[in-house]
Amino acid sequence: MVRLDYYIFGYYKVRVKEEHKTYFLNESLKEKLSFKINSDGEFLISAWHKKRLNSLFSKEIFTYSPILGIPSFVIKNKKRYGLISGILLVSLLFFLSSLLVWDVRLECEDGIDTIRARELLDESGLFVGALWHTLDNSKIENSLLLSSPDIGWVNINRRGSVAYVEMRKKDIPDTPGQLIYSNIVAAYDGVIEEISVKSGYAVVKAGDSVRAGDLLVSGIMPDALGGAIVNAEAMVIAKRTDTVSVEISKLGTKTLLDPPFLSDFSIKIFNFSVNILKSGGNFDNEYAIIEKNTPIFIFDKKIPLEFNFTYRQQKREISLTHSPDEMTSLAAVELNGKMLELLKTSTLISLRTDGGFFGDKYMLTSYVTHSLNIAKEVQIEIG
Amino acid sequence: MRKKSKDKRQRSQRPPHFHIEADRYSGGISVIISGVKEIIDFSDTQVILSLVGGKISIKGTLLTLTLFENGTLQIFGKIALWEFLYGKA
Repeated sequence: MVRLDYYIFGYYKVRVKEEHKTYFLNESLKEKLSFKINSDGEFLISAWHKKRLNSLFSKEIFTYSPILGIPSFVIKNKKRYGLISGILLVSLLFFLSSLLVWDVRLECEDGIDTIRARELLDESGLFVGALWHTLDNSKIENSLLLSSPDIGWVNINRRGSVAYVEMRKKDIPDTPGQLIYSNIVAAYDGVIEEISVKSGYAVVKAGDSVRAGDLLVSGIMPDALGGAIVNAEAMVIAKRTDTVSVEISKLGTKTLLDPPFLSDFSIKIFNFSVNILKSGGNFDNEYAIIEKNTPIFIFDKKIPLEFNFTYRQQKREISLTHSPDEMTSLAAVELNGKMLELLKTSTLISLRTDGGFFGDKYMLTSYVTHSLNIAKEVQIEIG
Repeated sequence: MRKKSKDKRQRSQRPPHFHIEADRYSGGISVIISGVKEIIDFSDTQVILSLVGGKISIKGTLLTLTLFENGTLQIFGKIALWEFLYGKA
């Protein structure tokens, strides 16, 4: 995609010859040039950057296209004054008209008062003739949810200059006949991105920052909505940042296992077990255990006789020195494992990783921004 | 005492460590890396960079490279794997 300023002031498509690509990239890095290049060595530069490129590199390593963008069009049609002024006028009108809301199309589920919904939209600032840049869809959606008892879900979409608003009814039980009543609280700290309430009364909105334990959706409806007690059900997606860090020391330990030896042997007949060999001593932590059960078959039929062998292997810890190569790969593997554990129930949004050697240690630290459902049901105690 | 101040001076002169930042977009993953010393290899499927304190290899498809004026590099594409490697270029 070509930058708007490139279109307006003109640009060139440049191709670096394959054999000079790596040299050119490294020199550009040193000279602090800025551009986006694909694997074929093609990139776009503005007309004024071309001069700098020519002063830094030999012309032989590039091939240039003719000038592209609006200057190219102007050069071709420079004597057609009517055409150019017409295009400018139409562009200006087009730009001005796109700043306004031309229509608001409302689609409501049965049970929602459409006239009242339109009034609420007007009060929120979404009406025909409003300026698009003054509107914040999320804020309007939240204000509608909080101001109307009937609306359970709102979605505002912009297509061209038209606003499409969709509304669904809130499920409010007629009589509080349930046995369990609950609130929804935050299970973790975070910034709310999205909240969809199936039942209950939302006390927070998208963009709010919450701490673990904060009330998100109340099971006690306000007096204006009947004051009923319900089992609050909601999905609250929040964004949070966690830090995952691993540290690998130059000096490490490795566990080695000795060859196994038979420590226990028993014969199991029906459900009775007869110990033939049983070694004494405490084998708990220093030994790895291998158990092997051998059932006996006669003519492909299992008979109620089984030999149970238990082997043990002594563990020995030896100290070793990791090479820098091993330290980086060990840190990467450990970080990967921690990251997978963290992202088991959430979606990754962004990731920042810093790494480096600090004395005898190699440290990798990742700052993970992820989104997850933080809704936790907590029962309301009545009495 | 003199040795200590010498150590401190050396530490302050040491170049900063590398920094990596990844974001997911609809067209793929964008990885922004600072602390790049050298671009060792760049192709449609692989980028190998020499960083302060090691090397990094990024593998994927449809990879593009963006250089910024502050020496930061952005790799964009369908990134499948990145590996931290040690060793000089």
